[in-house]
Amino acid sequence: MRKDDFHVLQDRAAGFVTRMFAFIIDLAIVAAIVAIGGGVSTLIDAALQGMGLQPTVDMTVIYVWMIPFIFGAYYTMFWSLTGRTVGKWFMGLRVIGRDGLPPSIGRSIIRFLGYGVSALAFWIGYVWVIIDDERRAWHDHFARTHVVYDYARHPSGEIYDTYRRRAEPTD
Amino acid sequence: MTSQRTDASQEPVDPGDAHKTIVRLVVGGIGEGIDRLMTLSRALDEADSDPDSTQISPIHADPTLMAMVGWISELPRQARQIANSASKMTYPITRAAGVAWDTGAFVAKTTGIAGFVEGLTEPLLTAIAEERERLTSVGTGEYARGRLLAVQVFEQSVDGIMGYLGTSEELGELVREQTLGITGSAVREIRETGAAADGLTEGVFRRLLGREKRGIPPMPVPRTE
Repeated sequence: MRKDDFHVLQDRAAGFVTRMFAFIIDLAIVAAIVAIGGGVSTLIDAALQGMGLQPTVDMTVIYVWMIPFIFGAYYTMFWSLTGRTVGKWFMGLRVIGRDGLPPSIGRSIIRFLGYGVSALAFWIGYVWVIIDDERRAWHDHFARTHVVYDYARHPSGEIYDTYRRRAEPTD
Repeated sequence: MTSQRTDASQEPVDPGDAHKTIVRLVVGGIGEGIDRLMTLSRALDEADSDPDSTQISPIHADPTLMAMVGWISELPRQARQIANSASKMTYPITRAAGVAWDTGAFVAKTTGIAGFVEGLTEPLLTAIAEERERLTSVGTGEYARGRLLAVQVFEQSVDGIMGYLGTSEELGELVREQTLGITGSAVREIRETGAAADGLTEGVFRRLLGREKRGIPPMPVPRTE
């Protein structure tokens, strides 16, 4: 694909490199959130001990257990609400379901769990995008989703129209 | 995949073969994960295709979430077992209550009280059904309104920041010229480069695998409702 053909990619399946960059950006953002949260939890722990209160549980341990949930919340929230995370927005990508809309909460959770499976298999699940005929990773197959190029600043009119139609009172 | 892992786990463990054990665990875990996700996905498909589902809240409005909760939870089965044990212990009481209820129902029917009570409860049941229907439409609408709002907030946040910065004329000018110009073109450049690299990477791998070269990438076909 030459750069001249850039505009024709709108709404078409995104490739491996773009998706990888989006993933790295998201990873950096969530890592920053986790780091800030870790600092806050350490401060709270120190403050409690300074007040003479000895917590019965180690806050650091609790926080470490919370990290996967922080990752999960970040991805599932953005996917289910807008179809794009910050990294995907930056790289001009959008996650859509079979109906062309952002995936539901349930499918977003499956997609996130699929991230784990794809990574556990020595990242083959991610690299699968390169050889898949529909450019879908394993987690896309699990959650029945697609990742498409979407360079528009705002989502397509179809998504807005669908939400508006559903949001209208039905009485 | 699962049976392979079970067979492997029954073999005696040789400390010298620790790496093999690790590989078995990883492969077995992946297999189990894929198996479970596919089962869950199939359950979601069934839930999606159910046209008779009624929803009364944002959570209930999402059949996929409800199906997933049902799949994950083993609690209903355990609850049934507990209920069975409890019912055996309380059988004499429930039996006596049943006899009393039947007697009461017989008396109510023969004396005409049952018809009177039905006449009283009919409007109430109708009102409950109407309210439930109303809540269904309200819940679905609220859910869609929430998602619409989230999309608007996320997509328009850049506009908001730019507008805020633009309140200062000099700063606004600087932001417009420098940020929008340079950053905008830089983002476009990165996206173009990424898209070009996508095609290049795919082309190399497809050639290595002996597959046909592809031109424009595929476009997902939306499911027809």
